[in-house]
Formats: sequence, structure tokens, C-alpha cells
Amino acid sequence: MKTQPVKYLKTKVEDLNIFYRESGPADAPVILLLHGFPTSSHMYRNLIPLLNDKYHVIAPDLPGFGYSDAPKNTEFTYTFDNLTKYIQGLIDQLGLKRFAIQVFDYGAPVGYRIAVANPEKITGIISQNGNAYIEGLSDGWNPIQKYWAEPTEENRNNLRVMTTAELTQRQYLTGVSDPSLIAPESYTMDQFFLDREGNVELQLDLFKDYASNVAMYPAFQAYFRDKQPAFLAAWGDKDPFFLPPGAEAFKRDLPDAIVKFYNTGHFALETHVNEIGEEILKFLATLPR
Amino acid sequence: MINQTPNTMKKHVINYKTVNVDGVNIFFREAGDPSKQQILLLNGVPNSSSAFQELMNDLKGDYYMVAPDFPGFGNSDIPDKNNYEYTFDNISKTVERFMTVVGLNRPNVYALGYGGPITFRIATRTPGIFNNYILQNSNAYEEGLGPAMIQAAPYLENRNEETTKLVKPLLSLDGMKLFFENGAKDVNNINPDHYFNALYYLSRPGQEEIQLDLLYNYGSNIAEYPNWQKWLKDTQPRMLLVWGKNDVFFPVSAAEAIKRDVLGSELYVYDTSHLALEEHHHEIADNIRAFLGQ
Repeated sequence: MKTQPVKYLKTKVEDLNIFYRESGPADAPVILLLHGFPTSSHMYRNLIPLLNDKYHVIAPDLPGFGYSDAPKNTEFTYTFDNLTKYIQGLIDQLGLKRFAIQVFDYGAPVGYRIAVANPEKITGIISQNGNAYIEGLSDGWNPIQKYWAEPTEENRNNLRVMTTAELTQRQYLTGVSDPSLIAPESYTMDQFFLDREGNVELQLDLFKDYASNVAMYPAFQAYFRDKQPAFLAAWGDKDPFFLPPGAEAFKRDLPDAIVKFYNTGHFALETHVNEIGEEILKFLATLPR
Repeated sequence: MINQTPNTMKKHVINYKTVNVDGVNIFFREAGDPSKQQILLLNGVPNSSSAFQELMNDLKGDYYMVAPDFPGFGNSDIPDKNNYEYTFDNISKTVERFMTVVGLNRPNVYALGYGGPITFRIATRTPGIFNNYILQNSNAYEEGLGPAMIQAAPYLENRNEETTKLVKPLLSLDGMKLFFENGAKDVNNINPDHYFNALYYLSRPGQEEIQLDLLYNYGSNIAEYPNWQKWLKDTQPRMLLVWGKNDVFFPVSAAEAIKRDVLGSELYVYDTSHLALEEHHHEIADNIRAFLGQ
């Protein structure tokens, strides 16, 4: 078996350098992996080697995250619409005609926007704790929802705690029954990026704009109903942000959706990459090219 | 109480653990089935046990592997320098105690960079403690000192403000690139996570002092080189040498010197940097399987 290397690349999309990991045969079916907060394509480091034998894997960093450019929020509009524009730009630039998407957390509203805009390109969707239904939102969203309702400086400042090293680590450990499965570099890498000058401000802007995702949930759901994309939900069932009912809800609009739960937290790939990877490979094998 | 990983899954995961060794919490990565052949993996600057993450991933079905972070490094405790002497000799004692605490029994050893002097110190102090030796970009010979070590030599001989200026950049982003990218075949193969994460740890308060202390103490290793050479010649350990030939610290001349003295040793040379595992962990994993058998 030939082992596939992973390349760490950057390309200019409009005015920003967008970083992406690329691996697997160039002529193989493509899967685009979209990361969440506060991480980067780093979160897919253990999944990529499981997929890259048979699939051409592309995992970008969103603007403001990882190694993609992170202009200050005074110079760049940090909204999910705008993040999506850059990922769409990357898709166009790489000439991806048909591909599956895997989405997690922030990657979900970006990926679903892309699917809504390019239904003909999407071969299937894997959602790992990538929410699209109100019932998936936990009480953990209350402080953020408060900021949506009253966008005051005080409510904004109340969210700063979510970017601290302590909270980042806690995000990885909450809901995990065996903490020895959590690599410290998962949260230390994320914190390295969050600690960069100006990064917290842009993260707070994105917390604010998450309201635009909730507003789009009905549009995402209508897309699911109308286009019936092949769908796998692989969900850490102890996720403190996105609850299992959010995963079950996909079946309402996608009766053929496969919904699998794993006994773990938000960052399910940190503890269950082998199990989830196996399920993803099974799912991808059923997709058209 | 931590849930135990089911035995059937043991070989498929890497665990991240901490154990108390004489009052110092030592972090280690653990992978594989403990009933299989054991490998102790040792590295120091700049990235400690995380250097082995991908190799452990490659080999976790074949061997039982343990990779500690030295005191002051990575996720291990950083004892105050008044309570812990940051010298190669002292760290080698901690590592030897660690081996007992985690229950390693005559493991094979994989030594990279600072892991080499630690290994030679343990091996010469406690004969027979290791089974087979895998050495990567480490050194025991004058002729194995590369340009970056020669540039640091004035600091190793005489630590003062002037000579400190020569070595301080090793702890910066430029320094990380010297370890990771300098001599790499294609920088697009080098995972930036590895050097930015190394930098994140090295940038913690108090790290600079500790790292400079230990680097200064590298002079004690050079003083030991003749003893280690004698040990290599006298005991003829079974040894695999895997080498990034463009290493600016310990280039391939370091490997060739060992090969001259350890007659049966096998040498595999890769066209890459000090941290050869970055570009060649798959091939080095194959070298190890061929060398150790299964």
C-alpha cells in the first residue's frame, strides 16, 4: 500500500492567503473538510491519513483561523457569508467540480451555504456536530444569544472568556470519558492562534454573526428537503454546544440520513477518529463520483 | 476514575498521560499493545515527544511505544531550577527512573537530538538496559557537529552575554525553521503545526532560561563523546541509523562516524532536515519494522 503524503499549501483567494492541507490521489473523488471554532484544519490531522488512500482530501483554514490570513476586524468583515465567499473562491480556484463536504461547528454554516449555492457540485454531506436545527442548540449558547439580542459592549466582553486557554482546554475535555485520549496539542495549538494580536476581536465578531446562521437554518433545511443529499451525521453525544436532538432532526428533512452517535464531546475526532473514520469511509463508498 | 481503554482498542489509539517521577510530573505519549516489543522514544529540543506523533501513529499496530517529555519540556512539569538541575546527566536519571515507573523492561530505544546523549548516559551507566538502538540525527563524535553546533560552540565553551546572542535565535521562529525546514526536500511537506506548537511551548515564561541552561550543558556531552565512542566500540550494540542528511546540527557525518565504529549498524539516509520524521516518517517506520521484526 502506497502511503500518501500530506501537503501544506497556501493560495491567494482574492486579497487573502488561504492555507489548506491537501492529500490523496489527484484523480480520486474529492472531500472538502471544513473546521470549526477555535480550531483549524489541524482538527483533521488524524482523519486525513485515514481517507487519503482513496480520496483527494482538501482541508482549508477559514480566514482568521490557523494559517490563513487573519486581517484585523477593522480591515475585514468577519461574517459567515464572507468566510463562505473565500471558501467558494478556493473551490473555484482549485477547479473542484464535484465533491463531498465534511462539516463541523463553524464549518457547518459555511459548508451548508456552499451546498445551497452549488447543489450540483455536492456528492454528499458528513456533519460531525455541525448543526442546522434550533433543537441542537444548548444552553451554552445563552450568553451568545444575549449578545445577539443586545449587542452591547458589556455583552461582548462577557464572551471574551470563551477565548481563554482554560476554556479552550475545557471545550476539548467536556464530555470525554477518557481524558488520556486528548492530545494536549489539540488545545495548545488552538490557543496559539487565539493568542495572536487582534484574534479575539474577530472571534467576537463571529460569535455575533452566528445569528445569521440560525436565521439560515430554514434555508438549509429547505435545501435538505428539496435536494435530498446523501447525508451522514456523526455526532459526539456529550457535546455541550450542539445537542443530539440536532443530529436526530436531520432525519426529519432527510429520511435516508444516517445518524450515528459517539460517546464523546464536541471534538469527537480527537477521541473517536478510527470509529468515525470507518463510518465516513463506508459512507463515501456509496457516493457517486 | 479514568475509564480504561478496552484492550481490543489499545493498538489503535495514542494515549496522553502523566506520571509522577520523584516529584516531577512527566507527560508521555503511549501507543500500542504492551505485550509487543517496546520502544522508548526520546527527543528534546525543540518539540520533545510531539516529534514522534506520526511515527507512533504508523507503528502503533506493531510495537508498544512510550515517548516522554523531559522535565522542563512540552507537557511535563517545569520544576524551578533551584529544585531541579537542568543537566543532561540529571535528565538522564529522571528518564531512567521513568522507565521503571512505567514498567519498561529492556526496551528498544529511539534517540533523536538531545535524546542521544540521554540514551548514551543511561546505556553506559546501566549496561544492558536497552535492547536495540535506533539513532536519528544525534551525535557522539566531534566530526558529527554540524555548522549550527559549530556556531554555538563559543557559547558551550564560555557562557556570557556576547555568546548567548549566538544561540538565543534557536528559540525563535527562525530557530524552529532551522530544525524543521532547513534542508527539507520540500517545505510544503513540513507541517507548520509542529513548529508553531513547539514555539508556543518554548515561549512560555521561564523557558528561555531553562533551555539556555541545558544548551550550555551540552558541553558536558561533548566531554563524554570519547567515553561513548569507547562504549560503542566495546559493546557493538545492535543499531539502526536513520538520518536527515542536511541537518545543520548533526549531519550525516555523525552517522558515518558511528557506522565506522559499530560494524553491523545499518544506515538509511534521507534528503531532509534534522527532524527527518517530518518528511519521512513512513519510510523510517518501514526501516524500524525491518530492523526490529514484528
